[in-house]
Amino acid sequence: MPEENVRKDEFDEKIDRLTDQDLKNALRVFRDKITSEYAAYLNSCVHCGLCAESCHYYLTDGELESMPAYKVGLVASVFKRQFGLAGRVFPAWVGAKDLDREMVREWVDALFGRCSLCARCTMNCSVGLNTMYLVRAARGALASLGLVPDGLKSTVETAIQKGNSMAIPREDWIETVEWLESELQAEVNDPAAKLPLDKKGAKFLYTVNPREPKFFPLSIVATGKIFYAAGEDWTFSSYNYDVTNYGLYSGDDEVAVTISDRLVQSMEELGCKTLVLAECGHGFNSNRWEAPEWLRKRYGFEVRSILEVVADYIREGRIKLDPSRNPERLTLHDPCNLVRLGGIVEEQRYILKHAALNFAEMTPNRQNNFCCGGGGGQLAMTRFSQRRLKAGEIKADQIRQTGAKTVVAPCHNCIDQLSELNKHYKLGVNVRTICEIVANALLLGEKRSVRNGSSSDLKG
Amino acid sequence: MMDVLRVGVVLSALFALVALTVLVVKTLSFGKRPFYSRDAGSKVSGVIYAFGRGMMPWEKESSRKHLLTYLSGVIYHAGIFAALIYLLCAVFSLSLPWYLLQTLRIALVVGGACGLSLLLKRILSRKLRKLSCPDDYAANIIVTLFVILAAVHAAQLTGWQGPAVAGSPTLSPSRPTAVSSGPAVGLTSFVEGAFYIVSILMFLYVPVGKIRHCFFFFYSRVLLGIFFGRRSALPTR
Repeated sequence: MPEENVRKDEFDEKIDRLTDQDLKNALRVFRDKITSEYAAYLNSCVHCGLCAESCHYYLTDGELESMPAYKVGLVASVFKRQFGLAGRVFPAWVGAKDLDREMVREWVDALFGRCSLCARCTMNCSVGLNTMYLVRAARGALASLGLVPDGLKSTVETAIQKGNSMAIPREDWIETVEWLESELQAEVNDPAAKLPLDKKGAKFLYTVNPREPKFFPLSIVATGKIFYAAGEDWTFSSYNYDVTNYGLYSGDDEVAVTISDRLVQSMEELGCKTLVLAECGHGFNSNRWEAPEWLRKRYGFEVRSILEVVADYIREGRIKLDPSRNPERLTLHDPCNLVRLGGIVEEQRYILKHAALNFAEMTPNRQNNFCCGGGGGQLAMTRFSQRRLKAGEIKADQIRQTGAKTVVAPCHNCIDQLSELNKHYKLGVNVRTICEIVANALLLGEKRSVRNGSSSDLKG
Repeated sequence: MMDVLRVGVVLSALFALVALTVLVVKTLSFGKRPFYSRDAGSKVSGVIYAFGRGMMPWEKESSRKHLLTYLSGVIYHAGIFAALIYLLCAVFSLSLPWYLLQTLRIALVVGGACGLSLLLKRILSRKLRKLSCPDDYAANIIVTLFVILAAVHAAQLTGWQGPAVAGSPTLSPSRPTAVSSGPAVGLTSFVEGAFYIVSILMFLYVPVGKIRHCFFFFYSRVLLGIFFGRRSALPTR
């Protein structure tokens, strides 16, 4: 549906119906989110505009409203008006503005609709403003007004009410795991191969993106195969296995806390040592970095990405790979939440170096990568889907330039967006996870000899 | 009259310092965000990167893409620091070695020109205009004027007769001995007075608008380094 038509919908009417008291409450929520760090950022922007071309939205639409400085300016203007002396005395002079209905409308459009919280502008900011946190704080205030755009809102509600973001009933999850276990057994030709559920005291508790059991079950088999080959002691939880946390994107801390706490509870109940997070960018950022802050809790266990675990297996010789099984030219997409915001930068490259023959980097890559356009809850917010596809043009061009036939993306949100870009921009590529590539290259027969022998040839 | 202005400069600078301190205290009163997640990398390395390699054009895409603006900004700020040093010498009758004065002169002239170019860019670029509020122009104008007046005053100090006084070990901006008589003295006094008045206005304006980034820039840069450093996302390889 064209966005122009969508704009005049009940969401818009909801904004019109906001009372002054609603706006005051939203300001209180906004204030509660402002820490000294945020206040410093909000005092720092010099409106130099050098950040503009770091944003995939601005690069593809050229609109002022897509400039990171403009988006930060929207948040800063309200901050100055409420909490700055100059903003209270001479608002027009310093660009201070009230949080009124018009500003709320602008916040929704720019902060939900033109930002994927990728933090690329932060790296490129002359000052170093953490745009992601500022935008998220404002999104939190909008969430308190019930103004999280549809799709993202329903995803969050589903996660809260149903226990996972895809509303998979526990029985279905258990059945799926049992079915996939038989698939794994057939694949490795070993009836003893397991996808363990609720195994107390296991070393790893492994989480998945609920999109996997729903749409990509074979990626679970792929990971199970790697664990099998490595002889790992691991388990799923039959209750809390969802790595996603869309509270990161809605800005609602209360929601984020509830969802984060579930995995912590499972870790404690099962007595596992390490929480291993599936290939999910925002799931990694949420659970590894943000959740302890949301919960105000220092975890008594380790939190690692599956990529770190697999890279260790290769280094330690616990799995052996034949890269010739992945002979086609492939490229790697760096999910913003995993790489720039998560710090997992080289592990995926190390893995691909051992699992594939013909790996080509995109330009730019690593911390300087461009967002695919699917982050920040954009995939869920149908309201902005046309913009999302347009913003993904940068990524589509990057992929095309590599000449790759396969795009590897260690993130299921990115995979969904890349699949859409693949169709929309006619890229003609396959989109796969890292574990799928690794599982395809696994040499199961040599597993034991490798484990007992020298692994120096695999170190690098 | 000059003495009164000099006192005014000192008082306004103190005001700016106190106002900035109040602003910082107010900022800190929002509360610090503690870290509960375990560090994966080094905060210190991140901060060093943020102030070093992380600002270089070969490392930062925005600096590379806007090289001219980036360099103008760097030189402009060098000019501002030069003007502050020059002001300090002028107000407290401190003498400068000849080579340092020459260095300051170059920094002031080039810095002032860069300040003007940035102001022009803000005026001429439609997008920057839309992004700007009156404070952006005011801050740029007042600080650029400060640098330019320092440059003009420094130039008049010897009437640009460098070789004639090249043998002097030091020169003091507040004692323009090289300019000895007539209208030049009047002009020097006028420029000096204007320099002090603009300095006073600038210091008074510090807490009002974006000049406050003279402190917050460093604070934000430290935060950037800590944020990405502890996550092991920076420094890049």
